[in-house]
Amino acid sequence: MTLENVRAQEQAVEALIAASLRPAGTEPPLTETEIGRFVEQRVTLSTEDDAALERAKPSLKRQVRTILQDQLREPATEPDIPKSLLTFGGKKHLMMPQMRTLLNMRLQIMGHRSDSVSEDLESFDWERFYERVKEYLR
Amino acid sequence: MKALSLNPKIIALARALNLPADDAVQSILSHCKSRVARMLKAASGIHTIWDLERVVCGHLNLAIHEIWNDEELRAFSLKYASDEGDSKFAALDMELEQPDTFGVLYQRDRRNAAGEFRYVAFVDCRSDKALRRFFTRWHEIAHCLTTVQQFEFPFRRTNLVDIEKDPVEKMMDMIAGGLGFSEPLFRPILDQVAGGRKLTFDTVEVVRQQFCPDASFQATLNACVTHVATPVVLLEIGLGLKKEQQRALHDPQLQFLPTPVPKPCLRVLRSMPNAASREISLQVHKNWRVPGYSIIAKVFNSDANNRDGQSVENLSSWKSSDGSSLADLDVLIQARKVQDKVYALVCPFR
Repeated sequence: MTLENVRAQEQAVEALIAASLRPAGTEPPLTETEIGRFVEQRVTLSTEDDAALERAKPSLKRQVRTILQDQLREPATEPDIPKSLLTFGGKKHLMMPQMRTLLNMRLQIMGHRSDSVSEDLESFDWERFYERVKEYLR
Repeated sequence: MKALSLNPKIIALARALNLPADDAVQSILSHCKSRVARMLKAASGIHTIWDLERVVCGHLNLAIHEIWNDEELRAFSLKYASDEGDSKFAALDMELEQPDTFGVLYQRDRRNAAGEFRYVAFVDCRSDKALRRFFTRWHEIAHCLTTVQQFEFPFRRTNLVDIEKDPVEKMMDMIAGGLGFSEPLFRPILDQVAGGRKLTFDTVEVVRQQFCPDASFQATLNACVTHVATPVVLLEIGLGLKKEQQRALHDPQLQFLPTPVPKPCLRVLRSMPNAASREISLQVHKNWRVPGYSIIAKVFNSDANNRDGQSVENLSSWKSSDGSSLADLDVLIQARKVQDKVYALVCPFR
């Protein structure tokens, strides 16, 4: 994409944002020239679009900054229980909290120095792991 | 930029650590170095690599235990599972049962008084694994320095034997190499021993004895190559397949076709040029075949009593299957056979 195209696209996006800020029902009828501006990416803003965009810009920038700084990220949620553990848990009649305990124990292993150990949770031998730890499970 | 920097797992790790991902390897290395530098600000009396390790582990709330026999393994397992009530340690033996697994890092259930996470690493020193204990300690420290909540990190290691080492583990090895052979402690010894001359295997052994006799020869060799001022490329040579042959072997689609099993040839399995060699474009490409007349091939085919050799060769006689060749340069090649591999130091002859 050329620099010109990038600029035109940015302007088109700004115009669309501005248009979306207009109160409903106050849309003026579209003219052929206006449609042509979007199609050919020769974007100019009407006075009220321009004003609405200016009003919206500070808040928009704040939102973008927040997103970029990752402050809107949801607090980390609990990981999904892998299918292999669900299958094993079903076979052993384990309750969900017990399966979650097993998973959390596994996730607390932060790393191995190994040439062959896989930490893929789906291929993990949950049965052997459970047999080892069940005596100590609270 | 290293190819590793473009790996999705490494980019994800950099992002999970809130680091710029445009050169993820460099970002992660710098992150670890600056974390350690901050830890050292208030520290004093650091004269050896063990002093450095003690300070770093203190800051990371990391305890490292070495396991020298099965009884010790059972005792540690019981201590943490029973005495601390941390059940996952009951399966410690499972984590270290593979012959090529040298260490494991756990996050403990109980946090410290300040509410910070605490970690414990077990380094397997049973049988031959003991040779790697020094580097394994720093590998586990590297994991601890780059710890992110596991469920925030979308990739978990999935090694496939004979293909490629997991990129995260490669990254940890790079961090471990940088910290375990920390330049301010290691460089003065290397400079004094090497004295601006070509690097030799004997030099590496002297450096190892002076810097840390507990470090393996292999780890010290890597560090010497990285830090030495003269140009050198370290090669690891062994029997191997072309990349496409490796892929074909593991491709389930191709398993249906009656194709002959490819025969492995003597190839460059790993090529590690240092900064000085990159400056003069001295390089030997990974996966290239070793010419049959080379001293490397002779040492590889020799019996165990004749495991060292050296000769002057011209690199232009190294040719690939597409006809291209290496630079027209006379080099001194020193080769040493270790088990089923040959390690070679390649330096410009003049």
